[in-house]
Amino acid sequence: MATWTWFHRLASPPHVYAFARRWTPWFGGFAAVAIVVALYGGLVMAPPDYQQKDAFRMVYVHAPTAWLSLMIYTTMAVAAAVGLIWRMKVAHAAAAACAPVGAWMTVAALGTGMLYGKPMWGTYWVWDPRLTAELVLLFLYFGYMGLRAGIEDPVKADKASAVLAVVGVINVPIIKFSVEWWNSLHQTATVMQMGKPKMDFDMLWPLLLMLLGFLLYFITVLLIRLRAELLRRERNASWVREVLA
Amino acid sequence: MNEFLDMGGYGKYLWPTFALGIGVVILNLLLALSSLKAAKLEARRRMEMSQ
Amino acid sequence: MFFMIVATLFPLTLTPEMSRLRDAAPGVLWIGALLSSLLALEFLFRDDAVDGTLEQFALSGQSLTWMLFAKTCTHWLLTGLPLALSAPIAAAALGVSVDAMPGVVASLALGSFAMSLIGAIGAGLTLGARRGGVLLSLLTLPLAVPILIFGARATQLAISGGDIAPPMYLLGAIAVLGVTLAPLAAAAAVRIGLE
Repeated sequence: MATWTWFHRLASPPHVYAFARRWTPWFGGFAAVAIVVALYGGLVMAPPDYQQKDAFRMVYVHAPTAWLSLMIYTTMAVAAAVGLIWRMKVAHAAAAACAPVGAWMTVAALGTGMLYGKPMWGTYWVWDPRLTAELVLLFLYFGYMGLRAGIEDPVKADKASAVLAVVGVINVPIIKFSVEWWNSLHQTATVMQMGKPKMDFDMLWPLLLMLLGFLLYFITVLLIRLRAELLRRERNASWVREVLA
Repeated sequence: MNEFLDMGGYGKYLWPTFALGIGVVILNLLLALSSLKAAKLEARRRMEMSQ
Repeated sequence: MFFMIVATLFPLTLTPEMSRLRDAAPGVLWIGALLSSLLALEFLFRDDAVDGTLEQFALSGQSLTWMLFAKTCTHWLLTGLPLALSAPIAAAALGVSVDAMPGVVASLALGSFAMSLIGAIGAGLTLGARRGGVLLSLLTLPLAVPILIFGARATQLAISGGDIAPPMYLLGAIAVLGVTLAPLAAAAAVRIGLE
């Protein structure tokens, strides 16, 4: 019965709003600490790579943004699916909140990737599967946001964009596994391997900490945007009056 | 200090990369906060109008 | 029709040199196919939505999914298939040799079928939206990219005389996936739009 209460709380806008408001500073604080420490670890403490020398340090920004661009889309798709199946307003609000952050992360992933690619591969861009699919991901984000903006009725906008998000999620495994499936210029997985990661610990821990920091950061931003979405959707509900008073 | 900035010759790629990454992080935080502020303002306005 | 115009415009604007045209041929053919498909997709559901037939069908006990699948097939038979069949003319204008023609036609036929399926989802989603045409392109494009990639690859191999089986199998797989999933998604999209 406790789980049912929890589920009900999750679906209730005032509860979610209160939760978001309370926890945002904590997630934000930890995110900031993690990122700063990871930056120091990656830029100063980690030794240069044998092959890539100091250039490898770009992975500390490129990998988290890329990973986040995928993770956010998946979160968005899951929230959208939950919203469609259980007709939860909060889920739709969460999906809407994810989109702008995800799009920016994709831009950052592509941009940092281009800057990383130039010294490593000699070119800013190559139409290999992973890069192309990541670009497609950006278009999917734009399509999602465009569809939401283009439909007048908010309920329809929620549902239609949710369908798009779910249909597009097939792109995520393509991006993830494209480097394994096809001969690709992009590097294969160095961290998430079965067994020992290929990276040195001194190089690895700042990366893992960066990933954690970015994840906490995403949750922070999501909670803030979710609050904004809930306020916009709830119109004249009484809980809104109490919150704003 | 200069070697740090130079990063073994890769400095001109590395620093813009970090600037882009951290910049997007900060930008999104600011955008989110401004979106919340706007939503609160809009909600207040709606409340005033309905009263 | 549009496809033929596009195909003939390219040699005029790019270069009359046959070998260069031949290189660009897969891209030209496929972009032409994509654009033609997008143009026709706008009207896939529009007429029926406007005069209420779509609503009636959705309300009736029959399966909206099957009906949309049938509509998509009709769309392909009226746009994609003729396009694929007339491709040899366009391809010849771009310097493609005669023995490559079967491969070109096959790849375009299969690929345009997959595009019709995917496009139906976008058409359903943009039913009630403002500026639906622009949105439709924006939505269909990401989903159509794999079709473009493998289709162009198949056409390229056909032109250069290679084995077109691998990309054709992949195109076929996408088409099968599309057949099973796309009408469902399109039906969901249409239902949302009609509510």
